[in-house]
Amino acid sequence: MLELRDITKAFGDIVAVNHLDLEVKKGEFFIILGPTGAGKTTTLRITIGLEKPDSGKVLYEGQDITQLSPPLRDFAFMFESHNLYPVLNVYDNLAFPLRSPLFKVPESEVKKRVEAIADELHITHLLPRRVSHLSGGEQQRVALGRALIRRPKIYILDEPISSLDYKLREELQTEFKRIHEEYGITILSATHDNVSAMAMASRIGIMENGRILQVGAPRDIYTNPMSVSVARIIGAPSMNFIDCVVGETSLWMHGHQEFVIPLSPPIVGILRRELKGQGRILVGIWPEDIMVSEKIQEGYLKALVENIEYHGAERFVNLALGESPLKALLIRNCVPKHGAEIFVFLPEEKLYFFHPQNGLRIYVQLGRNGHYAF
Amino acid sequence: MNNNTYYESIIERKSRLSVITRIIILGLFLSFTVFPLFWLFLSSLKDRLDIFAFPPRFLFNPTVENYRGLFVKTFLEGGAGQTDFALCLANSFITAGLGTFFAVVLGVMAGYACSRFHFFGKNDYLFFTLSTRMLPPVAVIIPIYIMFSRLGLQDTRVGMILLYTMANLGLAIWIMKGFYDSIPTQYEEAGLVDGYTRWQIFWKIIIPSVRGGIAATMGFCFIFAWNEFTFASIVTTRYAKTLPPRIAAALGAAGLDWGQVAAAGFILIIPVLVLFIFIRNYLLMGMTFGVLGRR
Repeated sequence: MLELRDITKAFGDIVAVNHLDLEVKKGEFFIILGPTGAGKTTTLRITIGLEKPDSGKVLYEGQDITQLSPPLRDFAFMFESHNLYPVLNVYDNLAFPLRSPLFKVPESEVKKRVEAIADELHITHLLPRRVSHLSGGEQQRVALGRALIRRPKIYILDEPISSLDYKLREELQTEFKRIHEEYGITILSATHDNVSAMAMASRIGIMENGRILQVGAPRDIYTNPMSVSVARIIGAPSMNFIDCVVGETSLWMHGHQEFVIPLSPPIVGILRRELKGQGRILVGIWPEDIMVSEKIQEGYLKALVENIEYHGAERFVNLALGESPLKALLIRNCVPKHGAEIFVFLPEEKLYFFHPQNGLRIYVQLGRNGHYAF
Repeated sequence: MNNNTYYESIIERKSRLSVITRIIILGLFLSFTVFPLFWLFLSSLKDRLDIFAFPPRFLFNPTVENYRGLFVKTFLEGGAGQTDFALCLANSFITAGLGTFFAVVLGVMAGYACSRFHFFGKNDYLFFTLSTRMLPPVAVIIPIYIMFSRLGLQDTRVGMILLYTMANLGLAIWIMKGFYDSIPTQYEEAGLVDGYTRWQIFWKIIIPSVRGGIAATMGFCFIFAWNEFTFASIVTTRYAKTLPPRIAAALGAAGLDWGQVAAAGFILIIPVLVLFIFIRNYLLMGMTFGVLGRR
């Protein structure tokens, strides 16, 4: 439906968007996830028409709209902030898009639509108020209302909820998901907050340094990150990375030959083939995949407990495995003490292998196409 | 000693001290600022004897003779008829008012352009407009005098309006630019996406957002033009003469009539005083070029 083709945009020496390709399908909630400065906002601004790309095309249903001015594109844009006009009250802010010369509707219809959207977002009581007298969460709701009041072809939201505190974020996350499903609208959004991206998106595009690294359903990217960068961006808490060495028949931690991670021979074979012999490799594992035990068991490695973090119902333990910091999800009855010894097991089927130089994944398990890579 | 009473005594001592210091500082400040105005007003209501009385009199029989004398010719000045004071008052209002109006209208537009658009020589242009304010008026008075007399603008209201528009434009552009700079460009972009043109957003949203800035700019420009002495005293002689040179000239005809000078002075400051009361909140914002806030 919406397609960005080979978009490049530079500001002076800084390349904000670098040969980017992206496609948003109809009815999709597509979220661009990436760190600050990845070029997310520029990408959205190019899509909406507030920036012209240096090269590349913006297509809507096959038609080239790169040169079209923003109002003619008929998209709605919710800015990260400053979407609302302090000189108008909430009602007039909501009504503003409906009173524009281009999308004008009769005043009676404006009233109906404003009241409907206010009711939908539970902000009816705020309508006569001044925007500057609203709280952050209320402002965000009004801003959302203003973006939703028209029926544009696509809704584009820049960091719609990341400036809010955690409670409100959760609340609005649910709201967004509900509205997306109820209205059947197409949304393109950008955020650096992977929790809300995972919660809301139908598909995620991981972005870094002006490029889209990987696109897919949240769970697919999580279970199948194609590079170290993707794995770093997608997870919360992040994936653990351990600097290892591939030997003749096994894998051990760099600098600690005693820490051997048991691997089956075919996998070692693939790694040796990919690395062209022995060598360093980056091994990744999600915190919830590490098995933790207070007693030593076969194949377990000894680590030291540094501290414990509480994330709602879950507890994570920060460990030192040799020099490598490691974060692991604790099972319910395990209560390790600070400084205590603890034993961890890294199951072979949960490991991700990455090239030490370019950070790209070495596929040894179920590959991207559903085939075994070995 | 009990801890509580210890702190209480310190706090009490501190607060008493600070109240006294505040009163002293404020008193000094007011004696420099408000008292002269007050004395001017009192003097304008005194007759000759009371003005020169020593020690100064605070209680006396007030008279409006000084104010009457400003507008009506006395016996010494040639008997019945009006003086030119009313004409000068009208001239002051017209030249300062319209000069301010044009400077603000142009400044509101030019300030927006300078804040939002890039164009060739923008920084040089901005510096140039402000530099008109850096020169003391006496430095440019000769060329302006020659220019005005060649163009037939000398001693005309049109000439004075042009002069005050020019003199205020640089300041107006700079103050307004500061206010526009403090408004996020997303205001325009959001409107653009919603189907408005830039011009429509400018009128509907941007202008209301900077109304404080406009008020401040108007205040500054009007006060400058209203008080301006040098240009007015050289360029105008009779028909377009404004109040400041008129008051200065009044020190002559019948000797130093301090009562009339005080009355004229008080009339001169009334509009400025009223203006200040209305826009005092915005003036501070204007002085900081909109940095302190804009609503």
